[in-house]
Amino acid sequence: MKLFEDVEKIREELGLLFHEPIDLHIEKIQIQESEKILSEVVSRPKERKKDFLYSVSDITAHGRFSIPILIATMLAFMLFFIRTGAFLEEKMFSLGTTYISPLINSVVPALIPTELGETLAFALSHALVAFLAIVVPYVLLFFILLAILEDTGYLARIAVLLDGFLSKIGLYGKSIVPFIVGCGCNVTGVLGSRIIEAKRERELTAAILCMAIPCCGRIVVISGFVNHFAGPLWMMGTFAVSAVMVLVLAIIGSRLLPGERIGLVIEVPPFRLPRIRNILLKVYINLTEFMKIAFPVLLIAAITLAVLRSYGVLNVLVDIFSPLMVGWLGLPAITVVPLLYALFRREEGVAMFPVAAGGLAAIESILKPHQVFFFALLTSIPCITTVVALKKEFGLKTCAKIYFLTFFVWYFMVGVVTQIMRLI
Amino acid sequence: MRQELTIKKKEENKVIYLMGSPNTGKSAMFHLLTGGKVVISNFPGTTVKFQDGGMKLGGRRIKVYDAPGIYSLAGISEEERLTLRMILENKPDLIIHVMDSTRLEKCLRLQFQIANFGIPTVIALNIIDEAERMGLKIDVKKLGEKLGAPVIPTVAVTGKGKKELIETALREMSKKDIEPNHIHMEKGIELAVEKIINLLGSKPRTWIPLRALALWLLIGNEVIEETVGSMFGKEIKY
Repeated sequence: MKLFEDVEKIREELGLLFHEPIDLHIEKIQIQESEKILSEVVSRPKERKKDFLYSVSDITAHGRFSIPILIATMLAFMLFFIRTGAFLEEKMFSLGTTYISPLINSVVPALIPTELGETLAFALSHALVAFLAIVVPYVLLFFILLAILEDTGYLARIAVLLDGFLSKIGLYGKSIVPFIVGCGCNVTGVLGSRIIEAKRERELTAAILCMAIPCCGRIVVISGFVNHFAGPLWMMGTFAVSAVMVLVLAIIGSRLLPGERIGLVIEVPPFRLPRIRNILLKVYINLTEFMKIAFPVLLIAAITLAVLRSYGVLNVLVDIFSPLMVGWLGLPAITVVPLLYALFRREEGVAMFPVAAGGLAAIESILKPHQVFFFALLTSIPCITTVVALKKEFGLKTCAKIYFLTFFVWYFMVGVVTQIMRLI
Repeated sequence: MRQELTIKKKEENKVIYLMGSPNTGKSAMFHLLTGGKVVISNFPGTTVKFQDGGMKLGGRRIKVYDAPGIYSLAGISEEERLTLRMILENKPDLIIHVMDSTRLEKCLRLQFQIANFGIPTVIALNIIDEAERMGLKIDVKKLGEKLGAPVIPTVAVTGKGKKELIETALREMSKKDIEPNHIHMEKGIELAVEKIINLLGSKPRTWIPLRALALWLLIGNEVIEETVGSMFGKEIKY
C-alpha cells in the first residue's frame, strides 16, 4: 500500500536525523520521560531498608549460594513429598480397603447380579482405591508445594537460575516459563508457550514440554507408582531421565534451529512470606479442576475395562499388542491396558494398573523394578487434553508431528534398552 | 489460536479492561472486583488470554476483562498483539491500569501508550503496602497530574482501596472520551506525525485518535498496520 511506503520513507529520514532507528529513539524518549516523572514523584529512602526477606530475596536469585540453595530446597521438598506422600498413601489405602471396597463389593453385585456385576465391582473398587491412595495424595501435595514455591516468589527465581543454565546449552530463553507453568499441567504449558514470539522456537518448546516435562499426572506416576513399586532410587532415576531428555532435546533442537538467542525477560517478583489464604485458594481451585476431570474419567475407565473384560475383548487386545509389549519392550503383556488408559490421562495408567493386573499386590509379583521404571517412561506420551491444546495452538500437522515424535522417542528408547539388556 | 475477539456487548453493559505489566496483581484485582475464581499467581505470565467476569454496580452490570501482563503495546509478543487488538476492535469504556508501586519504572511506558487512545483510565497503584514497607514515598496526586489519570493506592490481595477505586472508576466511566494525553517529543517527530496524519487524511471512520494511529505507524506496529490496512480496504489509490 502506498501509505505504508510513504511512512517507511519518513521513518528512514528520521532514522538518519537521529542516527538510530526511530522506534528505538521513541522508546528512549518514553523511558526518559518515565524516569523524569518518577524522580519528581517518588522519593526513596536514602538507605535501602534491608530486612530479612530482602536478604533472602538477594541470595536466592544470584550469587554463589543460589545454586546450592536451589538444590537443597528441591531435595527438601522432594523428601517432604515422599515422606508425607507415603504417610497419606497408607492412611488412604486403609480407608479405601476398609470402607470403599467392601461397599462397592456388596452394592454393585447386588444391583447387577450377573458375572458382569462381579467384574465391575472388582474394577471399580481397585480403581477407586488406587486413585485414593496413590493419585490423590501426591496431586494434593504437589499442588501445595507448587503454590508455596509460586506465592513466595521463589518459582520466578528458579526460572532465572535455570535460564542461565539452559542458555549455556543454547535453548531459547523464554522456554523456561512454559516449562515451569507446564510442570503443573502440560495444557497450561502449551498455552503459556504463547509468550514465545518465534514460531519454530515455540513449537520446539511445546515439543520438549510434551515429551519430557512432567505434569502432575506424571508426577503421580513417578512419585506414587514408581516410588511405591520400585523405591525412591528408581523414582529419582525417572526424574533424572526426564531432565536429561530436556537437555538432549534442547541441544538437538537448538542445533537444528539455530537462531538468535533472546534472553529471558522475566520479572523477578519480591520474595514474600506465603499468604495462607492465597495458597489454600489456589490449591482448592487446582484440586477441584483436577477432580472434575480425573474422577469421571476414572469411573468411565473402570467401567469400560470391566465391560471389555467380561466380553473377552480385553484378552484379544492384550494378545494383539503382546509382540510390542513382551517382545520389544520386555514388559508383561497386560501392561498394554494401563498404557492405553494413560493415553487419555496419565494418572489413569496408575489407577488402572491394579485393575488390569488383579490388585495392587499382584503388580509387585509381575513387575520387576526396572519394568516399573520403563512403564513410567512410557507414560510420557501427552494426554488427550494436551493433544487438543496442541492442535488448537499449532494446527493438526505440527500437533501430529509432536505426538508421533513423542511416541517414537520413548517407545524406541525403552525398546532398544530392553534389547541390549537381553543381549548382555 | 487467536482468541475470539468479538465481545457481545449489550446496550447497557459497560466494559472495563484491567491492564498492566506482568505480575502487578491484575488477576488479584480481577478477583477482588468480580469474585471470579482465577488463579492468582506470583509468577509472571500466568494470564495468557482475556479472562472475563462480571460485577454489579448500582444495579448495572459491568463486564471486566483481565488482560495478560505486558510492558508495551508494541506488538512484539502474542499477548501484546492480542491486547492491542482487543482495545482497537472492542473499545472499553474504562481501563484500569494496575501498576506495581514498588516498580513503577516498569509501568509508566505502557501508560504513555494507553493515554494516546483517549480512553478514560484509572490507575491502581497496587501493592502499596510493600512500597511503604520499602520506605518509598509516592506523591499520588502529582503522579495523577503527570499521567493525566486519577491514581488510587490499592492492595488487591487484601482489598485495600477497593471502594475508592470503584467510585473513581464509575465517575471516570461516565465521561465518554477524554483528551488523549501525549508526552512531549522533539519537533522532528511531531512534524513526521503531522505528515502521517495528513497521509491518513479524513478517510478513517474510527474512534481511534489519528495521532495515536500515526505515532504507531511511525514506530512500526503490525496490529496498527493491519487496522489501518483494513480501514482503507482497497479503495485507497494515489
